Amino acid sequence: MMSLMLRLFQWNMLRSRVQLVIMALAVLGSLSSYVLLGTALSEMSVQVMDAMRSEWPYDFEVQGWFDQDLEDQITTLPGLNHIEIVTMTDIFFYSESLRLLAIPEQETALVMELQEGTMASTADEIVIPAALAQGYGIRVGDVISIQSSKTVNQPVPFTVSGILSGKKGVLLHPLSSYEGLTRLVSADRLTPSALLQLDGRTNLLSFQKNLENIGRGLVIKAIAEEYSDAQANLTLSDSLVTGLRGLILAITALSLAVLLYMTQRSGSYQVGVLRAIGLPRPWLLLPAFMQTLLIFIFGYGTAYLSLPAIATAIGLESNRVALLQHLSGDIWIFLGVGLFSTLVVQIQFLFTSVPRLFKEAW
Amino acid sequence: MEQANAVMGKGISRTFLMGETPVRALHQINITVDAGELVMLLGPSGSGKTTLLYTLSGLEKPDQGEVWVDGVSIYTLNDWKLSKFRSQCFGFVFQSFNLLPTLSALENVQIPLRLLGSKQPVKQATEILTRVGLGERIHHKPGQLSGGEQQRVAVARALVAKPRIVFADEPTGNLDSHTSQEIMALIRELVSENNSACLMVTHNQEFSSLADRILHMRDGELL
Repeated sequence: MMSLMLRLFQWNMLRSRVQLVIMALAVLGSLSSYVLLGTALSEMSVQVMDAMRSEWPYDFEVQGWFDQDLEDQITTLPGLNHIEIVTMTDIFFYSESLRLLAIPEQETALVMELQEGTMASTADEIVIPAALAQGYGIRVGDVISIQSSKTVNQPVPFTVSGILSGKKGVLLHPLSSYEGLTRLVSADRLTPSALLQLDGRTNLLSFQKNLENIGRGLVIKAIAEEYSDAQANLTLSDSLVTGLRGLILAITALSLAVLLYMTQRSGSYQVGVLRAIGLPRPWLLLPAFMQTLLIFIFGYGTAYLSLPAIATAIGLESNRVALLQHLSGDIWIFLGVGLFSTLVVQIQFLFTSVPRLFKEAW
Repeated sequence: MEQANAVMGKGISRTFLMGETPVRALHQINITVDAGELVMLLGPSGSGKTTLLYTLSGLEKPDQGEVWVDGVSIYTLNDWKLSKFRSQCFGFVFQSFNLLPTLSALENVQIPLRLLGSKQPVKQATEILTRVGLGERIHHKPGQLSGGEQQRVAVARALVAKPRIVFADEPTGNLDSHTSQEIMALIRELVSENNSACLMVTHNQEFSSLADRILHMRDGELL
């Protein structure tokens, strides 16, 4: 039985070699474009969303006493893109009321590009934004007085070690070390905040509800102003990605179906004879599925080896891991489409009566 | 009573639609073919010969009537069982040889044997290919064989499993007269050897001497 199946498979594969090669190339080409386009557009979506963000790219500020367990609970909430724990305190800076941030020790979504000087490294150093430096005529090396707005302590002197860039998106708050903040407010009164950035797809209110359900006395503040804009843009680019990928899938399914149909058509008389002599329908279906599977394995293998190089060659900045992750996920969708096309074409032949298969035109 | 004949068709009628016009292909046909008997079905094109052959071989269900093969009413079987029944009882020779082009002669002839789960398909296929005069060409692919040789392979494929009935539809239609004679003689010989029944459709009266019985058809009716 297995031997006959293999012979039928061999016949299926070799009876129209040119069409087989075209089919393999079509799968490779469309799979590659599907993955490359998907990866590129996904990256573009993230960039579009990032571009919509201000210098404070967070959607929630949550205050509470954070430990690993609480952080884990928040991290597992659906829709969270990024979380960071930041210590900050309110200050008076000349006549302005501002927030002074402790320089984040972990990965941060804040852009802290220096225009000049260095980042504050000691307890008496501070980095200020370009707008403040310009507005008050402050230079690197100047000593300025900062007063906490939470206490009645005397102003504390800080040396300006650096000035942040005035570019769009760069942080607009002054920065110091954690020790610098404790010079203004005692450590036991410095409550850390969790700054949360959502993925742009999740509903803000439902995320807030999930946060509230955690309990533990969290003080939650939503920053909704720019989220809806980012969300709208992301929805638009998501629709674009889905539409284009759907189009590629449809074209692939159609071209595969046409090629499979042509291959099948060229052997329809033989299929008729095989069915006449008693070959059950599933026996003819299985080799066709095996053929499709083999073509897709070839397509996947070749794409796996060549895509990173192609991406580099066409100037896509996608990293190799992201690209191959997309490929591994997308191959199943593609295989599903390929098997579906095979099934549709095969059903048409297998359920056509044998006498009809013997006719020249039908 | 039905079991005395290898094949028996009773009251077979079949009508096709040509556009919107119904065309009567078969009308109230009663036919029997006995074991070991070669029946030739003669008639002009469009007389319904091939439709009758397809109907008796389980390939085309009649609108009316019944077909019995070895006492089994074949159109009461489901598709799976009918396929199995065809593989066990029927052999087919068609006008176009339609061997699988990527397989050798030997592999083509093994197909029915492998379908039946034969334990010695290679031996049996080699034997019959030798019997039809292709012992030296068993590993040749169809493209490397002449038309006559391909039809010999097709005959070998039809008869290798010693079927109860052989259905042959214009088996010499694509061959020259000399090769046709050889193929007809070969079918006659093998059918007799196996004691198979054979229903052969042809419009060539030249070979009528090889038949045990000749039936004539016209306008969907047996004359």
